[in-house]
Amino acid sequence: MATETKEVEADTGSAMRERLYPFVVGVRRTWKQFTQSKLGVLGLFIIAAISFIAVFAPYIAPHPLEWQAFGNNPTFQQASQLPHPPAFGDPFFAPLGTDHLGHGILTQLIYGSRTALFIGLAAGILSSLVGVPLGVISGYYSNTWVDEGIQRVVDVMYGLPFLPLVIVLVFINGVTTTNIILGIVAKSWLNNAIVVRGQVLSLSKRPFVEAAEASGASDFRIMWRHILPNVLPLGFIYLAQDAAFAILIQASLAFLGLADFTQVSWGTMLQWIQVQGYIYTAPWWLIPPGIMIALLAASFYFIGYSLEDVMKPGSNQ
Amino acid sequence: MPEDSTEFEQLVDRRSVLRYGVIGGTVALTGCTGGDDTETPADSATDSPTGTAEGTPLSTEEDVERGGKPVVGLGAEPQAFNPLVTSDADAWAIMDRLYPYPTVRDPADVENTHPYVFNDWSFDPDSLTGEVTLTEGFQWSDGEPLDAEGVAWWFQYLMDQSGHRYESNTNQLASIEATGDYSLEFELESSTAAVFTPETGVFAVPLLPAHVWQEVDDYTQYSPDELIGAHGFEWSDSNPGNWYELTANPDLLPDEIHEGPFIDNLRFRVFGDMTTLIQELQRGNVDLTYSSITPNRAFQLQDTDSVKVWNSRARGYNYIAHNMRRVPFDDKPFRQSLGFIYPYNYLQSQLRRGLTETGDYVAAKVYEPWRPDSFDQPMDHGPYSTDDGELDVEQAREFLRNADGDHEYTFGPVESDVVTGDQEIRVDGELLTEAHTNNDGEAGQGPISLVITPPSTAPVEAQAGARFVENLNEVGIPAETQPVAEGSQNSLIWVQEDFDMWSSGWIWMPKPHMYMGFWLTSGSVDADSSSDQVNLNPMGYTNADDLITEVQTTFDPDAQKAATKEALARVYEDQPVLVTEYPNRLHASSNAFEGWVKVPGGITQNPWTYLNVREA
Amino acid sequence: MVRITGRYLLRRVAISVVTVYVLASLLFVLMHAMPGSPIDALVGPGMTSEQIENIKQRFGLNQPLWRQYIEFITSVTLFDFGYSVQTLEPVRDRLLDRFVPTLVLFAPAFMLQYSMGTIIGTFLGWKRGTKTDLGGFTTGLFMYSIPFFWLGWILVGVFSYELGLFPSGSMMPAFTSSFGWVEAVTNLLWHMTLPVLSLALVGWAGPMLIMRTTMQDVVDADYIDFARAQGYDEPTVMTRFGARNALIPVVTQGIIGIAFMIDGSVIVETVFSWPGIGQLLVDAIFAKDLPTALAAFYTLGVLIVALRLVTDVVYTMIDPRIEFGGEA
Repeated sequence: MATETKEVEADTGSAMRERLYPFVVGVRRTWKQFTQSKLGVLGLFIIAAISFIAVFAPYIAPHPLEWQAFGNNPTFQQASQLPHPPAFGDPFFAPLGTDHLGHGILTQLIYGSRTALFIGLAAGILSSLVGVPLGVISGYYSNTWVDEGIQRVVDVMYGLPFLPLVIVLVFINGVTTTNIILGIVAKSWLNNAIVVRGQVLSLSKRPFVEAAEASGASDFRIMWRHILPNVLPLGFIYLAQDAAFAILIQASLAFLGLADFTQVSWGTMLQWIQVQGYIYTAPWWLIPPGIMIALLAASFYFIGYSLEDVMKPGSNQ
Repeated sequence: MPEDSTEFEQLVDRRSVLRYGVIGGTVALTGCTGGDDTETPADSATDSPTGTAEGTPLSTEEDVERGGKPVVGLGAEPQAFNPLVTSDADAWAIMDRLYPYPTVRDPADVENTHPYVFNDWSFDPDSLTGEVTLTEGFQWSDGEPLDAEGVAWWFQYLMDQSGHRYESNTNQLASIEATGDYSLEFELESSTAAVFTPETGVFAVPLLPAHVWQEVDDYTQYSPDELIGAHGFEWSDSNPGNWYELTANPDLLPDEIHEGPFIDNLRFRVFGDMTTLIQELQRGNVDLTYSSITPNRAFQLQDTDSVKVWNSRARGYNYIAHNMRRVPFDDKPFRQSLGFIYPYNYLQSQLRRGLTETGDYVAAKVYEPWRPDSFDQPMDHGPYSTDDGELDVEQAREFLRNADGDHEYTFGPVESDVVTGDQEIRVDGELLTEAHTNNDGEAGQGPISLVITPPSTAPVEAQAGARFVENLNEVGIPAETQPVAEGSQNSLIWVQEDFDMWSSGWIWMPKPHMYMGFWLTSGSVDADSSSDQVNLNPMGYTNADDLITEVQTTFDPDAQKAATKEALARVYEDQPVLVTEYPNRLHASSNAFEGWVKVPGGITQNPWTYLNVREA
Repeated sequence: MVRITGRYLLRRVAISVVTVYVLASLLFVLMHAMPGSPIDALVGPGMTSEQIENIKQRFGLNQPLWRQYIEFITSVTLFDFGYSVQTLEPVRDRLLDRFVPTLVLFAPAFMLQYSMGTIIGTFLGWKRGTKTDLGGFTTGLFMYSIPFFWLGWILVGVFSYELGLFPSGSMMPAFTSSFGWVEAVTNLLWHMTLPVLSLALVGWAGPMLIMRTTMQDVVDADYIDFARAQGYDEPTVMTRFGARNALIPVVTQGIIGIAFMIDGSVIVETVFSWPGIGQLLVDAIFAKDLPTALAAFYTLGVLIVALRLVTDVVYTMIDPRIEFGGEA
C-alpha cells in the first residue's frame, strides 16, 4: 500500500522486511489457496496471455495500427468493399477482416488489449487502495464516529446508480481514459470497504488480536501486521471483481459514446461499428471485440471467485 | 425533373456542377430567420407574386390514386411542439405538416416566390404600407376557416409577445389589420426589401390557429399533445416519444395550391439509433429518412432494390472557427497555414466517399454567381501534399517561416509530448505552448485545442478533426482534440467564447449576400468576451464590416453580386473560419412511394413533397 | 441475535432519510458541475440577452445558487421536479410515463434471472467439486462477463433480422393506440422477449454464485445428515432442507442484483428503444436537461436506499439460528 508508514519498531529483522511483512504473508497465504483451484489458474493464464499480447503487440500484430487495407487513398471500387470480411492474402492479409476505413480488426484487437488491461488493473488496484484501508479502519474502530462517518459516506454513495454516475463524472471532467478510471473507482471502492469491514469485525474478536492489544501494540501496528494480512485474500477477491466490472463499464460507456476515441480499445471498436452502422452487416467486426471483453472480464472473475471458493472453511479440497 | 442518380461511381468521377440541383428551391427549415437582408434579382423591390399556382410540375397527372400510409423515420424524439420556442428539427418535421406559411418557394423555379396562404400582395416602400389577399379555402382541422381576422390576430399576438423565435420578423411590423374576410392591410416600421420572401421576409412565419392561441396564457409553458393544423393534415394519434400519426385531409387545402395530399395517413416513427432506422427502411417498415444520412449508410443502401437514395448538393457548409482573440490565432498567416494542413482529401475521399465538395468561401459552390471567379490571392488550396499523397510537412513549415504577419515563426527541437513530427514551432522565439494565450491574454495555455462533437454524434467531423490534429502535430504545432457534447457547445462557444478552434456542425446558409451580415460583422462580436449574451461571431472577426455593409445596401443585382464577391474574397483571405466542406445531403426513400419533390437540400424539408407523394 | 427494537428501526429509517437528502445535495452539486449552461437546449443563436434572461427566470436559474439549492431540496421532498428543459412538460409526468415500462421490463427479467440462478446455483452447490460444478460455474461466470448491449445486438441480429421472429425494438407496435386485452399482452410479451433475455442471460450468474456458495455451507451441516438419516431421498434433502436455508442470503443480497439491473436496464433500454427510466436518464444527461436528469437520478437513488433499508431490516429479522434449530 502506498501509505507512509510511521513504523519505527526496531524489532527483529530489518526495517524493510518489517514493512513488507504483511504483504509477504498475505500474498503467500493467498497464493497457496489460489493454486488449488483449476479455474483460478485458468483465469490467471488467460490474463497472462493477454498481457503478453499487450506487451508484445507490435511484434504480434500483422500490421501496424495505421495500416489500411487499400492504403491512404483507395479507389472508389476499393472503398466500396470496406469493411472487408476476413481475407488471407488476396487482396491483403487480414484474418479478421477490416473496419470501415480498412484498418485490420486483428491488429486493433491486439493493441486494444493494452487499454483493456490498463483500465481493468488500474481501476481494480485503485479501488482496493481506497476501499481496503477504509474498510480496515472502519471495522477496527467499529461503532465509533470514525466508523459511523465512513459508513454514512458509503450509504450515500451506494444510493447512486453506478453507470449513470460514471456518465455524469465523465461528462464533467472530459472523456479521457484517466477520467473514466477515476469515475469507476469513485463508486467501485464501496464494495471493497463494506466487505473488508465485515471481515475485520469478526477478526477483531479473535484471540491473536486481543493478545496484541493486551501487549500494548499501537492500533496502527495491529491493523498493519495482524489484520491486514488476513484481509488481503478477500481484498484480492474484490480487486479481481472490480477489474472485471471496470472493463465492462468501459464497454458500456463506449456504447453510449463516452469512450476515449483517440485510443484504440475494444470498447471503441464497438462504438465505431455502431456509429458507422455495420452492426448487422459485419459480424467479423462485431464479434471479436465482444468476445475479448467477455474473456478478459471472465478471467478476472475466475480468479476472484475461485479465490473465494477455496477460502471457504471446510472445503473438501 | 432530372432523376437523381444512385450510381455513385459517376458521382465520384464527375463531380460536375451540372449534375445536381438543376431544380432550385429552398429548404423550409427552422433556423435563424434573418433581420435585414437584401434580395435576389428575381425578387425585386416590388416583390410581386408570380401569379396563381399554375404550371408546377407536381400534380399534372390525372386521377392520382389516393391511399397509402408512408412512415417517416425520425432520428430523435421531437421535443416540445411549441413553435415559438423550439428549434428542434424533429418537432418541426411534424409541425411543418400542420402550419402553413404565407409564401413558399416555387419548386419549379426556386428564384420565385410562390403564393401559398397569401395569394396576392403589394407593398409600397415609400409609405411603408401594403396589402394582402389571402387564398380562400384553407381550413383548420377543427372546422374553423383560415381567414384574415385570424391571421391579423396571430401577427398581432406575435408583436405583443417577446422572446419568441419570430421576434425579429414581427418587430418590423408596425400594425396589421383585417379589412375583409380575406384581405389585410399592414404597415412596417422601416423599409426593407424582404417582405414576402419565404424564410427571410417579414412574413416568413408559420400561421397558427388564432382561436386556439387565444386561450394560451403563457406561450412559454405551452406544450400541447394535439395540434390543429391547416396544411392538409390533421392530428390523428400519437404515443409521445415513439410514434405520431397524421391523417391527410385534402379538404383543408385549396385545390388551386395542390390537389394532394394523396396519401391517407402520414406517420412518423422515432428511432433511437440510425442503424435501426436504416434496417427498418430496408425491411420496408420505414419509407423516408427525415434527416440527412452519412455517406457510409448511403452506400450500404445502394444494393437494396427497394430503396432509393437521393443525393442533393449542399447549400450550407461545415467549418472550423478560430478564436481570433488568442495568440497565435490573432495572426492571419497562422490561420492561413491551417488551411494547408487540413486534410481535405482524407475528408472527401475517405470519410465522405466523394459525396461532398471541399470548402473555401463561406458560400456553397451551389451559389456560383456570387462566388469570386478565382482565388485572387496567390494561394493554392490545401492541403500541401507530396506526390504520394502524404502531408507535405516541410512546405507547411516553409509557409510559416516566410509568413509576414504579426508574429515570427521558427521551428526547433521538439519539447511537447503531443508533437509527433521532428520539429516544433516557436512563436516569436517562444514555444507555442508558452505563447498561446486565453481570452484574457494570459499566456502559457499549452497546446491549441480543437473543440469537436464526439464521434458518436458526428463521426465524420470528429474523425476529420482528429486527423487534422494529427497533421498539426506532424508539422510541429502542438494540438489536441477536445470533445464536447453537442448540448454543451452553445454556451461554451457563443457565450463564453472559451475555445481555440471549434469544429461546427452543419450550418445551413441561404444566399451568401444575405447571411454574411448575420455572423461575420463586428455587430455580433463580444470583443473581450465579457458579456453573457449569445454572440454569433465568436471568432471576433471585424475586418470585413465595410464590404459586408456594402453588400447589404446595394440593391442593383449585378452590383450586389460584385460586392458579394469582394466580401467573400476578403473573408476567405482573412480566414476567421476555415470552411472545410459542403457536404451533400443524402436521404433515402423506399420505392413503395413515389412523387417525392426534390430541391437542393433534399426531399424531406419542403412542403410540396408530402402533398405530392403517392403510392407507387 | 439482534432483536428488532423500535429504536433500531427508527434509527435505520432516520439514517435512510438523511442519506436521501445528502444524496440529493450531492446530485445537485454534480449536475451543476456539468459543463455548459443548464438551458443550452433552449438557447439558440439570434436570441437576445433578454430572451435568455427570460428563459433562465422561467427555470429559476437566475437566482443565486444557494437559493436554487433550497428550492431543489423542497421540491424534492414534495416530489415535484419542475419543468423539463427539453419538452417543457412537468418532469414528474415524464418520470411517471417512463416508470411503468421500466418496471415491465425489470420485473420479469429479475424474476427470470433469480429463478434460473437459484435453481442452477442450488444444483451446482450441492454437486460441489464435481465436473458439473466446474462446468456450470465457468459458464455462469463467462456469461456474467458478456456486455449487455453486445448480447442485445447479437440477439437482434439473429432473431430479429435473420429469422424475423421478434421485433427489433420498442415496447408496442407502432401506430395503434387501442389494443384488446389479449392482443396487448401478447404484443407486450413478443416485444419483451429479446430485452428480457438480454438482461437475464447475463444476470442469472449473480444469484447463481450466491446460491452456490451458501449451498456449499449448507451441504456439510448436521441437520442435512439428520434428514438423510431420517430417510428422505436426495432431491428432497437438497431442496426442502438445504435450499431453504441457503435462500436467505440470496434474498438479502437481492439488492445487489437490483443495483446491477439498473445499470443493465439503462443499456438494454437504449439498445431496444424501450421507453423506460434508464433511457430517460441517459438522454437527459446528454441533452443537459438538468431538471429531468436530477429527478430521474434522485428517484433511482431513493429506490436503492429504500431497498437497502428493507434488506437490512429483513436480514436482521431473519436469522437462521432462530428458525432452523440452532445450527450456527
